[in-house]
Amino acid sequence: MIMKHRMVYFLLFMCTAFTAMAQSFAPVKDEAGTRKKIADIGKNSISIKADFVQEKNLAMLSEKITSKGTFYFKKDNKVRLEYHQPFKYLLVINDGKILIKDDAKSTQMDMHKNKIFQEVNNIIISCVNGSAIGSTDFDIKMLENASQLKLEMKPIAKGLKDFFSSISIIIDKKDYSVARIEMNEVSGDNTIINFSNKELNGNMDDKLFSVSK
Amino acid sequence: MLSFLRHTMFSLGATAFVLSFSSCHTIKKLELATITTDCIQASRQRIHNATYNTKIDFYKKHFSGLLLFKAVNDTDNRVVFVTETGFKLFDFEFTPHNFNIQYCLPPLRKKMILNIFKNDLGQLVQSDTISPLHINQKDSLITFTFARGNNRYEDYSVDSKCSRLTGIERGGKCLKQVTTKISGLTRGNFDEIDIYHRPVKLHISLKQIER
Repeated sequence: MIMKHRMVYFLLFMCTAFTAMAQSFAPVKDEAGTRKKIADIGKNSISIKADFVQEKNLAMLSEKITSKGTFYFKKDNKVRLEYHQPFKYLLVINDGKILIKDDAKSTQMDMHKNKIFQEVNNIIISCVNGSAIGSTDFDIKMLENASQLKLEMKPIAKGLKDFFSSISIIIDKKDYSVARIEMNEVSGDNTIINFSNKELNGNMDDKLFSVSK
Repeated sequence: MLSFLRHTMFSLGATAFVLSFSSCHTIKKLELATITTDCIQASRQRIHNATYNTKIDFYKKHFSGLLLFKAVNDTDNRVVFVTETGFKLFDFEFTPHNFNIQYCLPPLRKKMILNIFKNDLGQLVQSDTISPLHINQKDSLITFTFARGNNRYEDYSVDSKCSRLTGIERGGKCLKQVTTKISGLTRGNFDEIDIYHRPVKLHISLKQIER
């Protein structure tokens, strides 16, 4: 009986240890090479389609708001975020224009008139197309494990610094696509977006990015 | 044209006067002692822990996001507004005697905006411990009226079965500037809430969603 318990504890310990090992990151060995690789792949990235799960964690309240949807990106800076659950919401960003559709109304606006959307757009696009790696708005630390790269980005620019304490981007080494974005706010809250079912560089209709109402 | 406008304005004014006058006098007064505990409980129903898909229409502007209500303890509540994309716009704390701004995006830190949120959201989370000024029955509603000073009043109406709160009206004695319509109740939280501000074209609509 005691042996059985010991065995269970041993297995639990091993599982935890392996998980920790799998998730732990160390500084990247070839930083210049990795930077170049990310930038090159980003430059050649034509389109991305992926499902996403977004978690908004409100630290002080120990509350989490989870939403799911589909993300589309097309070169150079077209973005479409479709939220399916638990609400319907569509955000399209294309050529400085934003289209927002909820179940009640469609709204079109100029991006330069809305600072929040401007920031969201810049962060998403720079994370997805790899241009974040060359950004001077962040102090970037590059880490890696066997299967993933992690960019730990500390904002330097004032506007970003007031809002974010750090932004982490996890990149899958197999295709250098973004697997996860973690936006940590100064308040302790964070937003985590996990991407799955990624389709890279497939054909994507421009109509998806239409911003007309 | 001018005389037509004048005539129309006079007719509208007269109708409003008659309506407001009659609405103040077609009600039956009830004594607190005759009101059941269920009815009092229904008038004190508030949101505790729920998330709402929220739309705000202000003149031609339309905003949306998620409102998260959380009871921190028996008396204190937090209300947080987050955009669909995850940006927090405000985080307010409501205690029995205070309204504290835990966080508010600078463009929203305006006295008028904060007052609207304080009153509109406060009425949904804070219930009265004081006795009502009076209780009336009108049509199928039982209304508890509370005096708020400076000739301001708040009416909390419950259905005739005393099963749930159906609406809140805020304003003067007869003319209420802010009307809140409430429908449905799931897990102790209202299903849908519509808040209409009469002096300005402001409509706030909340629909409960699964967490």
